[in-house]
Amino acid sequence: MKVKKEISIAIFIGLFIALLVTGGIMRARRALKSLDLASFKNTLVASPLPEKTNPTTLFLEITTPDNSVNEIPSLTLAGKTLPGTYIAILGEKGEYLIIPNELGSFSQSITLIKGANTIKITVYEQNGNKIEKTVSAVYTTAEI
Amino acid sequence: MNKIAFIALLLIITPLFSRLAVAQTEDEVTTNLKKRLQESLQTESSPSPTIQLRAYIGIIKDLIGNNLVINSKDGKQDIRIDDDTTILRAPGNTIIKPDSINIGDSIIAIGYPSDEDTLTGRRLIVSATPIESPAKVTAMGVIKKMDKTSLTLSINDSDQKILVNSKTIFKSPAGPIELADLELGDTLIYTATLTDSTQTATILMRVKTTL
Repeated sequence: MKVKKEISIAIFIGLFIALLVTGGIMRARRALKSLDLASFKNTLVASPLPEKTNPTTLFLEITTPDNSVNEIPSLTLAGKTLPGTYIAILGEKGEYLIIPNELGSFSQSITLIKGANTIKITVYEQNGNKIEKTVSAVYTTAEI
Repeated sequence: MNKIAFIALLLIITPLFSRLAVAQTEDEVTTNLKKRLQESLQTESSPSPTIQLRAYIGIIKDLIGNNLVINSKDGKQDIRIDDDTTILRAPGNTIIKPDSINIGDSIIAIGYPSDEDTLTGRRLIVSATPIESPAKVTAMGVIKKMDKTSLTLSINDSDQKILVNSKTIFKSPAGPIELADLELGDTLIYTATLTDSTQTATILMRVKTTL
């Protein structure tokens, strides 16, 4: 009788351990699934370190939105070009001659007139090369 | 016998607790996801109208029903007129109906972009008078001749006379300069107003000097 009792206990303990192990494995599998290792691996492979670009061709990028509607009579015109260039801005009410910083970034507050504003931006290199862009903006105090 | 009962009880209770813990974690994750999704949707559904408003300046090329086709600096642009669109005629800003819009009118169309090529108009200002910017020029050239009231610059192998006056600003990348600091052969960039083909410099920047 005593032997039968011990066998029963052993079976129960064995079952308990088996259950624990199975539960552990199932949890581990679920955790791995939620991590999505495949996409994590792809992200690591597909995103190399950003390349340092050093453009030499004249370019002009305007970051200020084009065709904007403004409730105040000024607009901050910002953008990027080659460092060491000269920027001429012709607004409706004023003109500006500025130089970009050592990274080529520039920013200039432009006075707007009521209604339609056409702002012409010209970037010159010292050798005479130039590039032009035009930005439109409307200044209105009307409730729209 | 008691021991067996205890072990059996333990075996029944343990998976239950484990299941409960997992369920609780899943619930938390679901709740967090729902919360984030809701926040994201709220942000997208209430954008600032100032950011979305766009304005196109151009000439009306066609009028088909409630749709206008305008020619702006970026090319063709469709403007849709709906019940909320206010149409004004300048000068005077009198409210007009769509049938009073004429092909060839100048237009400032303010509204919300409904797709890539269409703007749903909120306020359209039309005018028979063209919208013109003040005549201004900018150029780069080398000083060929100079006196107290004018400079003659060589620009792309042709000469251009530019008037200077007391309002003209003289500068270099390092700071302000004066007319007297300029020398023949210096390279300048300038902005100027244009009146009857006469250029009057507003700003002159010396970018290269012979000195």
